[in-house]
Parts: sequence; C-alpha cells; structure tokens
Amino acid sequence: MSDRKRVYGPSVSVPPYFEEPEQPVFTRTRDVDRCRKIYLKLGWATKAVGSSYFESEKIKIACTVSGPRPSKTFAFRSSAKLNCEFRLSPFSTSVRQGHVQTVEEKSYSQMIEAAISPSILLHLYPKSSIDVYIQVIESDGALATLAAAISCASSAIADANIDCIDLVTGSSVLFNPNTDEYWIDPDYVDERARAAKGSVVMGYMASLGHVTQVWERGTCSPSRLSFLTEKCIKNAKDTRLVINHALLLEKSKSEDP
Amino acid sequence: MAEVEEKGLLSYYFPGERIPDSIISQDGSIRLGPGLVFQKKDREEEIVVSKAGRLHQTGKNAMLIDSRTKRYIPATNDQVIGQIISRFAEGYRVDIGSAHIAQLNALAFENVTRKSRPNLNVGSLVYARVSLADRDMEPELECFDATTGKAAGYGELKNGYMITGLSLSHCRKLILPKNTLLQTLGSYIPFEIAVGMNGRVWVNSENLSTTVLICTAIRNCEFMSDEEQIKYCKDLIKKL
Repeated sequence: MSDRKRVYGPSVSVPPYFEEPEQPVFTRTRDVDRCRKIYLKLGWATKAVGSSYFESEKIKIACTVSGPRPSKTFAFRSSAKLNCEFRLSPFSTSVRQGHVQTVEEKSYSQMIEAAISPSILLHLYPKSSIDVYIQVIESDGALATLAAAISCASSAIADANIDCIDLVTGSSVLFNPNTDEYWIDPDYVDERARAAKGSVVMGYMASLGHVTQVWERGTCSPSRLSFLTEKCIKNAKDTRLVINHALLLEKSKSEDP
Repeated sequence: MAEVEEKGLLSYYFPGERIPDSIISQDGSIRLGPGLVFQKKDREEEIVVSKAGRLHQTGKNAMLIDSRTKRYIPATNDQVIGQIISRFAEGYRVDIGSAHIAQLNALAFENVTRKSRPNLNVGSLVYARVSLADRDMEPELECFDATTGKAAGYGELKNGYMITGLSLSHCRKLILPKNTLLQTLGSYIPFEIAVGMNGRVWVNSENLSTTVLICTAIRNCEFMSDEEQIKYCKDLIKKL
C-alpha cells in the first residue's frame, strides 16, 4: 500500500546532469609584488571592548576582543592568558563547511595566538584572560586569510586599548621551489592554478622591526627564504600604515575640533 | 593637561613608537602615565608607546597617552561610581567596571562603628574613592576623604540615574572644575551630579524629564566644541 503522506515524483523522470566544474584559470591582474587593497574599520561592535573589520577584495574578516577579565580558572597567573578563537563561516569557502570548529581552524587559532602574543604586555594584567574572536565571513586563499586574520586581531587589540609593545601585521607569499617565481598575497585561484608548492606566512612588528612568527612550507634555500622574508616584511609595513590610519580615524574622534 | 607640541613633531602616537629625547625633560626623574612603558634595549633606555593616542604632559616630569578608551583600570585616589553586587561579613563586593570586582569595607564610611554600619542592598550605587589599586590584588574602595576623614560627597547615591558606557576621556573632561557643559546646564536647571573616572556618571534632579535632558546632553556633547555645547544645551532647554 502506498504512503498517502508522501508526494511521489513523476513516473518518468531523468536524473539531473551537472557539468564538471572547470579547473581554476590563473587570472591575477595585479603585479607579483602588489598586495590587494585593504579596508579596515575599527570599533564597529559597540558591546565589545575592541573590534575591527578587515576587508581585502574577497577576504572579509570580523574580529572582536573582550577583556582583560577575571580568569575562569582559580589558579594564580602572574600574567594574562590570551585566548584566540578562529572560525570560518559555513559559507566563507567554496566548499560549504559545518558549524563545529575543525582541526584546521583550531590550528589557525594557535598560529594567530603565537603570532600576536609577543606584542601584548600580558604581565600588566595578572589573573586575567584576554579573548580574541575572529570570524571569517569570506575567505579567498588560506594563506592570505591567515595573514589578514593576524592583522585584524592585532588592530582589534589596539582598538581595545590593551597595552602592547607594537602591532603585529600579517603577510603571505606563495613561491615555486623549482623556479624563481613568487606571488605576494596569493588568492584562492593563485593557490590552485599555480604549480607552487611553497609558501611563507609571517607576523611582523613594524615599529620594532621584529618578526614574531614565520611559517614556511616547501623546499627553499636560505638565501631564497631571506629574499621572500624581505618581501613579506615590505608587505607587512604597508599593511601597518593602513592600521595606523584606521587607528587615527577611530581614536582621534574624542579630540576637540 | 598641556598637549606636547614641537616643531615637526606629531603629538599622535601609535603602539611601538618611541618618544623622542627632545620631549623628555632631562632634569630629574620622569613619571610615566598610562600608555607609556620604559624599555631597555641594547644598553639604551627608551620610552615606548603602548596605546594609540595623543601625548599629554600633566606636569613638568609627568607624561601620559590620552586615548579614547571605555575600559577602566583602577588607579589609587580615583573617584568611581560602583554598583554593589553582593554582601559578605566584612563589607561589600562592588562592580566598578574594571577587570576585577572591588571590595568595599563596611567600616570604610564616615563615623561608622561596628554597630552603626550602613545598610546597602544589592544593586545600590556608591560613590567611592579607590584606596588600593595593585595589579596583583583586588581594588579596595573607601567612602570618605583620606585627609579629613569626612564623607566629602562620597557614599550611597540615592534616586537619580546612572549613565554608563562613556569614554574615560569624556569623564576626565566632565570632572574639571570649569566644564562648559555642566556650567551651562547648571545655570538653567538645578541638579546633582557625580562623575566617576570609570566611565560612569550619576545624575539626579527635581523631576524625571530634566534628568533625561541632562543625561542626553552629557551623552551627545562628547565630540562638541565649547560653543557647540552651549548652543546644544540652550536648544535642549527650550524644548522643556
């Protein structure tokens, strides 16, 4: 006996046919040394202590900072604990993701935490915890998104007026180990279309001239790595100018005209 | 607070930037306020900015970075408005908007003995002075003047309305003796006000409509010049 509550399809039906998606074609119009244009807005979240919104063409990241607040653990800490939570929205990548934080997101959280923690004067906030929440609204390449998240988190910390010795800016470069080719600030198409198996992501403190963290993947000679690092540093310095300008716009509001 | 202005020198600083030697007075010691840290690097001593903001010199040898922040860090002798969140045997736990809850001793009031303690309920507002502010300990409050032992305006704030979420720089301007906004409002409306250095302001007046008017004026006049504040206050009072 047929189920009366179920609506059956037509008796004559054809399964849908989907065309195979084409392989991404390299469409980079900007120069290999040029990074994407950046838009940065601070203080967008009124309820958070500090917040920033970072946009770089397709990359869109929102970050909020809460704290310093009393640590949840009762053990005494002489300095504050920095907690980073990096999350990709389900719709942020080309392949839809789940809501639960993945292993990749957790590793990115640790990487961002390692990159920005040297800049913060954590010893000034004992028994406290500082929480940084990074939400990727749209991603365009894993490397560039990670670098953008570092810059976004650091600018949100500056907006929160948490004492820091400098601001950390992220920078990324993709390179081909077999040739002299490299691409600053690679997007998703760059990562897929190019036969590039090497990458460098860096956190850099521009005022002090200190590198906080470097992640290098792929075979690379020391001289080549030094060259790529210099390129990353130059890009990070340019990003720092954008953060400075955004801070100036946000913080100088309170000054008398 | 005198703003530092020198030829070819920007008074706005970002984290990581060094304070030039030309600004620092060479005679005697220097007192560093919030936003500045002392560092030793390669046998050289330097003052580095740790918060984005404008550099101010509060005295001959005192400097600080004035930034638009809403998060309060307790400092000794600051006047704060707190809300009692719980009671315990020896006193009260008070929320002053800092990272840690402050403690207010039941005997830290004017002319109080063990038998005549003030009865403050949870949710009550108090205007107090920070007596102890150590980064390793919880802040402690007192509701009397340390020099005279008198209440001097400190104590429970009854009735009225508390404004929260103001920037600390705005509160510092409001607490100045010759504040244009409060003087203009005071010439038209009688009211009581308690300004806390923790971004909270308590206002009380004869009726609710004037209290709301004063609160609106305080909230909206943060980024106005003195002339604009006077004009804005007069426009508000006309609407009463």
